[in-house]
Amino acid sequence: MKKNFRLNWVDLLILVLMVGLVAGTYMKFRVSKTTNVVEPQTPITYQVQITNIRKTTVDALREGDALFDDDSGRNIGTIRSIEATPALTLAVDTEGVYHMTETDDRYDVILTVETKEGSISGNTYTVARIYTLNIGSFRDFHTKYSTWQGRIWGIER
Amino acid sequence: MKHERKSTWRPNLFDLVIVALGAAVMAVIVLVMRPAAANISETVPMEYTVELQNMPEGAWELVNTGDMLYDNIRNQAMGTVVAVDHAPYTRPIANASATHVYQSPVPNAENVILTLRTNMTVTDSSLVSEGGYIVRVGGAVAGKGPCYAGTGFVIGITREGE
Repeated sequence: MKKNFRLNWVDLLILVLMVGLVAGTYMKFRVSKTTNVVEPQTPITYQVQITNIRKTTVDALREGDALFDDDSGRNIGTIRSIEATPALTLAVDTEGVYHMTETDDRYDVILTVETKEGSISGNTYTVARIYTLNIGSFRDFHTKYSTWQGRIWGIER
Repeated sequence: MKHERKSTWRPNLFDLVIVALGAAVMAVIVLVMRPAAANISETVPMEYTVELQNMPEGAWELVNTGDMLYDNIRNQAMGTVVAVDHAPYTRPIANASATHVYQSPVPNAENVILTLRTNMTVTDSSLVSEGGYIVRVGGAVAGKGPCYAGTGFVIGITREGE
């Protein structure tokens, strides 16, 4: 009986491409995740400064609330403490001299935030795998109940 | 003599392998790309407060309980008005020696404070009104009612169970 199967180069090429596609998909979505899971996760505590907000926004913050980065939507820690003080804003007197002046009905807040999903590499502190803490940088944040712009103010080392 | 045309295609081993691999690739893509299970815990009736700032004096009298407030940009239903209040519209100003900054009332203007009720979809990270409006204190509001509109902020949310 004559065998009618013959391997041609097009079949071979398609087969190689399909195997490559399956292997690539597997590596991308399964193997890399597995690798991430075994990454060491280091607790990091850091501070976020919020300035010149109203009492209503202060009242919407609670210890224990989860904190999220507005851009990525990622959970970047839990609020451990809230320290609110009367807001200081820049004002100029009649002599043209600037003063940091206490402002009625506005508050400055320092949040202490703690995360267990941090990693430290040299002098780089990263939270939730992609969120790098840069002291001095302004970011948009939210909790479930409030939203505001804040500034990374400090990292406990 | 009549020639019968016979189909020349016959499945071979490679056709079957390719079909099987294609099905496997599709299955992997479907499994990997499927949306994560929605993290929606519940839908509950909730109240929250918005402040429309720098409105013409007396505008609050145009607001009626039962009015539906819509987001003026995305036309999302924000909720039904259940209470109306008003307060002076103020701007910060320093005294002459810049030792104190006061909130000084602006003439002929006031803030309209609306308490809204909506069925809220509650997740771990957000509260979303029936119309899709994300409610967070400090969030900007561009609201419109039947014969009024204004901009301001969300200033209060009653937390679930409180």
